[in-house]
Amino acid sequence: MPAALKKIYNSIAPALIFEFIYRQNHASYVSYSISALIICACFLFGQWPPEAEAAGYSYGNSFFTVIMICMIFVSTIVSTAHASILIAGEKEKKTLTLLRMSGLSPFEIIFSKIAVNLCFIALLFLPFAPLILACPLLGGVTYAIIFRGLLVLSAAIIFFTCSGILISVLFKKNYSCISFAATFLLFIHFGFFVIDDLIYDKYGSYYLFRRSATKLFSAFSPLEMWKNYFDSISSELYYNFHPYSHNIILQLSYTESAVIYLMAAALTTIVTVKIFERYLKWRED
Amino acid sequence: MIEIKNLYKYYGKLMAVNNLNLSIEKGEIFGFIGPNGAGKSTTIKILSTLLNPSAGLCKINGINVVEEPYKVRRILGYMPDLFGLYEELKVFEYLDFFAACHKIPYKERNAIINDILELTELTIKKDTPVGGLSRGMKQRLCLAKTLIHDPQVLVLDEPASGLDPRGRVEMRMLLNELRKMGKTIFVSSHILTELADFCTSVGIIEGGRLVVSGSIEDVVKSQGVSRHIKIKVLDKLEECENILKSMPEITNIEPAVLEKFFTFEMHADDQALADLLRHIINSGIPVVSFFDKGGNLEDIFMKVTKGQVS
Ligand SMILES: Nc1ncnc2c1ncn2[C@@H]1O[C@H](COP(=O)(O)OP(=O)(O)OP(=O)(O)O)[C@@H](O)[C@H]1O
Ligand SMILES: [Mg+2]
Repeated sequence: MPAALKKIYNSIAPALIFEFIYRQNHASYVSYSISALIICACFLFGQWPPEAEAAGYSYGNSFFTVIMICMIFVSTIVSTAHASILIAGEKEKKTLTLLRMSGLSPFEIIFSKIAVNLCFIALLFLPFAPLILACPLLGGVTYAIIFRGLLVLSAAIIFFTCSGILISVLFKKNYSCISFAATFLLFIHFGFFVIDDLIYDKYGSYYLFRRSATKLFSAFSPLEMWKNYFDSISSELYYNFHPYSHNIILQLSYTESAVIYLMAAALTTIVTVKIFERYLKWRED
Repeated sequence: MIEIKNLYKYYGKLMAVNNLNLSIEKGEIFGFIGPNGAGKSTTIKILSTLLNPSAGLCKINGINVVEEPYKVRRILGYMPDLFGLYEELKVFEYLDFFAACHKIPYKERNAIINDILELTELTIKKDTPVGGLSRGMKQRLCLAKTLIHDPQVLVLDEPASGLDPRGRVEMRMLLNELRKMGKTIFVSSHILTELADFCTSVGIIEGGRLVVSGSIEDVVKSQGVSRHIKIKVLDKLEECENILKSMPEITNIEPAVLEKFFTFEMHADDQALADLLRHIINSGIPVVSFFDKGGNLEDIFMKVTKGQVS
């Protein structure tokens, strides 16, 4: 096992050293400013009306919700966008040829790029750690809830990273990758709701008050996953909590969604590695 | 070492490489010459496993480039015609990165990189950011990167393009050095004269088709291009001129009276030249020097390439 680990380390070490030591990626500066903004947001939310407190909400919970939503927001956008220019950027700089000729296998190239992106996000979120760890002290959340949330977040980040890398292999220019990544994010978050609406339109317009209340494909949207996660926190903490729902055809718990995303990420990576050389030879770089 | 058989490459309907056949032995420097759009870069990309041929077979050291590209990449160093560099890295870091990619152990890297920097004369630029190098230095850095895993075969796409005359000479000396180290070198260029004096063999390509190939002398001979000879005498200029004029195969005799030499063109092999020189000397003419300027390579290039592009 250590031999295998050493091999993995050897494959990704050049990329990591390159990105974080030689190129001196300054992600953490960005990140400190974001976390400062979050602290401000937390204090704003701290000024909740007394009714909120009377209803059983507590600071810890509301702080955690703000930080978590911010992390979800930042990580979704940054991981996809950053991943989607990792390889296209090499194409634009005309260094991809050198990289392909440098004795690295496609798997190592893709894997290193994924590792770089994950480290980048981790670096970005490092300053958030004390903020999050402080939340349970304020009440309303437990470390178990936070831990589960972070696991789900990691699954989502891995999925978005792998999808971003696939996009990056497919397009030549940074801007086409970024715009395609944005389209991809819009689709994966909202597209499933639109599909459900289209399918169940006839019921929606006659019988139901809210059209998007019928859920089939929308179960796969990350929005649903996060809704389920926050619902689960609420139902764990408040015994009389019942999430609002209509006509649900497919219901996935947030763990199931996370597992699906992880499997999708693995599949995307395999596809990317398989098509990498063939696609580049075909597109003539 | 390098073997190309019936190679074809189509871009859509455009035929970039048309039935190319080549065979290059170990330790040779092969000059691949052709005008713009002749198909040089395409051939080179196929050789270095970056592009699939439409048909045909390419082998490097007996390894098929289509079937086992990663094996080929391990023994082959490819320098593209247009390449990018990581501008924010320092020269040493840049080479260290690629050394790490080639899985050269950490302890050995330093020594290897220093050797290569020495060879490419970049040692003083070791800590300069790559973005701050001149064009010629970038070219040498790219070559240095190509050498980092000690490949047996070097495939260089116009390594001297964009270099000043001095840079070209230095690049040539560097390639000669590398050949002495036992590497097989495949180098492309637009300019025949640039490669002529140090390539062991050349091939001229036009419109994707290999027009001639072989050693420089073979190419000169096969093209029937006349050789340019310069002869300098002490005196008896007129007698010398008469002898030259009496020979039907000698043309374009140009006397330069003040400097006491002639230049003329002659269709002849080495034996005929030796006979001519003996004849002149036997006729009592004091010859100071007799100099074969070689076949006019520009003439050959212009003759075999007709200005058509694939
Ligand atoms: N990616 C491509 N797609 C379509 N056609 C191409 C592509 N690359 C090259 N060609 C065509 O193939 C032919 C040969 O191109 P190639 O780049 O091999 O020429 P070259 O000999 O390297 O020329 P140069 O001296 O200008 O570098 C040209 O007609 C070119 O237009
Ligand atoms: Mg070219």
